[in-house]
Amino acid sequence: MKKKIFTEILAFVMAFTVFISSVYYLGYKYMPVRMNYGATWNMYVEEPENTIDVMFVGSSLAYCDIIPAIIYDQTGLTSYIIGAPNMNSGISYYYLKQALETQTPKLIMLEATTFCFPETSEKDSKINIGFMPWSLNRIAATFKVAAPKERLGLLFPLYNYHSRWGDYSFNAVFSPRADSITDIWAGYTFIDVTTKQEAVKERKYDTKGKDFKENMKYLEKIIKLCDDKGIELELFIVPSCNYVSEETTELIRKNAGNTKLTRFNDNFEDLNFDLEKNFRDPLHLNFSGAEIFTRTMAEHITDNYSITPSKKAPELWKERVENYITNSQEFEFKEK
Amino acid sequence: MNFNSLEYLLFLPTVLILYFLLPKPIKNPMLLAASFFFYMCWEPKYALLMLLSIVLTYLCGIFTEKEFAGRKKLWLVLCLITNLGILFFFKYFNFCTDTLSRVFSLFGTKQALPTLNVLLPVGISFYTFQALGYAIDVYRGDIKAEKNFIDYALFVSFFPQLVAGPIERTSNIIPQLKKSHKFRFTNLRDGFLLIIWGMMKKVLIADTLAIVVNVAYNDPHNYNGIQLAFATLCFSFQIYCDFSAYSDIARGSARIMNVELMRNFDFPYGAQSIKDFWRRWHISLSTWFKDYLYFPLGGSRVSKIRRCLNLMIVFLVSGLWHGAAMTYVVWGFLHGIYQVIGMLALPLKQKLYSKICKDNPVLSALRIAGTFILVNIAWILFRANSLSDAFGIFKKILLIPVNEYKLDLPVFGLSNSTLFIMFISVAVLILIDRANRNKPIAKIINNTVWLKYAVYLIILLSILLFGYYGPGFDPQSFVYFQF
Repeated sequence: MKKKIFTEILAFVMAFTVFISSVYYLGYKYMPVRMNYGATWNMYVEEPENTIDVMFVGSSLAYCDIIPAIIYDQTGLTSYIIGAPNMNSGISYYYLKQALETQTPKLIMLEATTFCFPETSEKDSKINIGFMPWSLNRIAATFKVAAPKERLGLLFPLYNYHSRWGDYSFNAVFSPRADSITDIWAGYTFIDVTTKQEAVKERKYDTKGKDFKENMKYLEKIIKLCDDKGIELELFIVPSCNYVSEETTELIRKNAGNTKLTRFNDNFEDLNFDLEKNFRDPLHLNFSGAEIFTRTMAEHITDNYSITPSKKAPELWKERVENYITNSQEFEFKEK
Repeated sequence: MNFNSLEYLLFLPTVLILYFLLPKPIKNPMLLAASFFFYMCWEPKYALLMLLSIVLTYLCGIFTEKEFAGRKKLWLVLCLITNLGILFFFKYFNFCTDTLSRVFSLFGTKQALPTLNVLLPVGISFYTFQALGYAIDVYRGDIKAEKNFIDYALFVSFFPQLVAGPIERTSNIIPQLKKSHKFRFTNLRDGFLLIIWGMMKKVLIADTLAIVVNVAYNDPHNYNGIQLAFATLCFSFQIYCDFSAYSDIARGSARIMNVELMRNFDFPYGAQSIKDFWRRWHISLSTWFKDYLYFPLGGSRVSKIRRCLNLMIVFLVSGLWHGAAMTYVVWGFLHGIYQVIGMLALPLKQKLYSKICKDNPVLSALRIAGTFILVNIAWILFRANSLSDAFGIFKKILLIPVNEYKLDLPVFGLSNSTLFIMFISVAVLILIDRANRNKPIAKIINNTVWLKYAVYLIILLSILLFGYYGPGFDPQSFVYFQF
């Protein structure tokens, strides 16, 4: 009888383990390959540990506008962009917490438009949280940022992606994911599309609703997190043709306390953008625009912070600079 | 709350835990409350309707048994009229006024008859028939009237079989509900296997087949004869998997509580005649009609003509029970015709079989194929959105030999790999159903520890991987909910 019960328990435990492992393994395998436009966590975890000097955090305004290879080329500082589409401050907080598990940057540059974004939409949660590595941060983001009806798919990715089984051969299921490699762009998303901009104007954001209040709570948490880790934090707002208003910027600045906030639209003229060539759309820069802005950003960092480059993973960074130079030389505008 | 919903995945374990933890006197009241909660998840106000039916049949049962006011029959008639009146009001009122309007228009009179804007209460046909069966049994003296209101109310509203059967008999359920059941691992094991097997039939097979069926039947004019024949074939397995899945999950859920519900299906597509088909398909409804309609009409102990008439009445009522639409009535009529022809041709068939060995496998296969085709012809009427659609589909299928049609499966919007999985699943289902008739497969599986868990794993992973669920999918309700 004892033997029978033991066999039953053993078989149950084994079956349960195989079941759970299969569910999570297949869920991970069937997730779409993600190599740009943010939430590229599978690539981030491949980055050699503790090699990043400066961490950029933000939405598409960060990962479309800053090219880490230029910063390295210009200053010797290694940097990486952690971001996700329409990333609000809740996601920014958990992304930052997760990113700091494997990297120890000296400076964090946080794109502050993140504090103007509303609640994460269903589609964005699926990407923004769904691609995070399994950790307490992911679980916390699932329960604190995602809407209740999205949680099941975030906790069990197979729920969201099981219908993709037909796209994979048997061998593909057991091969490494295509995005399990280091990111040659270090988080940047290459954009060669150009749209001509007619004017530079203010963009309205709702700062009176509960979303903005919630965002300010996360701003406090982010400041505390950086304080606790002894990392310098600066907020910045990228230059764009639809810029965040002075009023909204001041509101964020007020809530940020002693944390510095730089709005690059204040020096828009000095950046010498070509409105016909440097923008993907009113909000985002294209590759040529990102080149211009990143050079300014590199100067900004060296002017304001005395960070000694760690000079870690030089081969990888050499490859990244070469990749940037090649793309820069071969860059051709594509009119949208 | 659908069986194939997350809510049920939480609801069932909660009820089971409470059921086994609570002391005996509270077990059934808790189950009754849970059953009403389960029902109210659809439309809370219709729970009052069910309560009305329960109270009426409960009181009529007692009054009938005691011949209250010296009128035994009166109480039965009252019970029948009120219950069937409620059913008629919600299910058939609009159908009747619509049919009358059509009749008037045939004679050139345009008569605007009132229609009701009410939802059909889920499972009303099932619990009404179950309650009526009880009232008739009490009237006949086959059973004693149930005095305990909680037990009786639970018999009618027992959540596993409440909305889509099996339509149970008092003599089977009430004695089981009165017993105090302790948790047994064997019950959990048997019930769990039934539940996941049912889930697989529903989520993996029925809902995938539903895509093909819905695409073709909702716009039959755009599809050729072969495609419509294929869609009909898919429907035959969709409805079987859908309905038998519900019965399996119901039986599994009840089994864990050590309540044995009747088996509703017995490899129906292995039937060798239409009569045999009805012995294997929706057994609880077929036997209900046999016991409470066919036999009271005289059954088979009457003249041949009367017997034919009885069969036609039973199948017309059966058609109408399924739905308030002409398609269901004609479907029932066609099955009645099948039965009548089968009965009249019986001597001829027996003569023929006496010349050929009755157990000849080729003959058996031909009979199975013939029955399956006849059932499929009738399914066209059952599934078509209207009679004119059904006749259009018949016409296209009949013209297959004349026109050179191509099947062209991608028009149904399913990938080749999905279609492949679908075919494999249906083939496995047929093999298991067939094997199950000779030896209960579940017993073999559950008696071997490693095999049992291997089967659980395969079924669960198949559901999760190939099933029709998740965001972007529209989970299909069980087909029989609408009846």
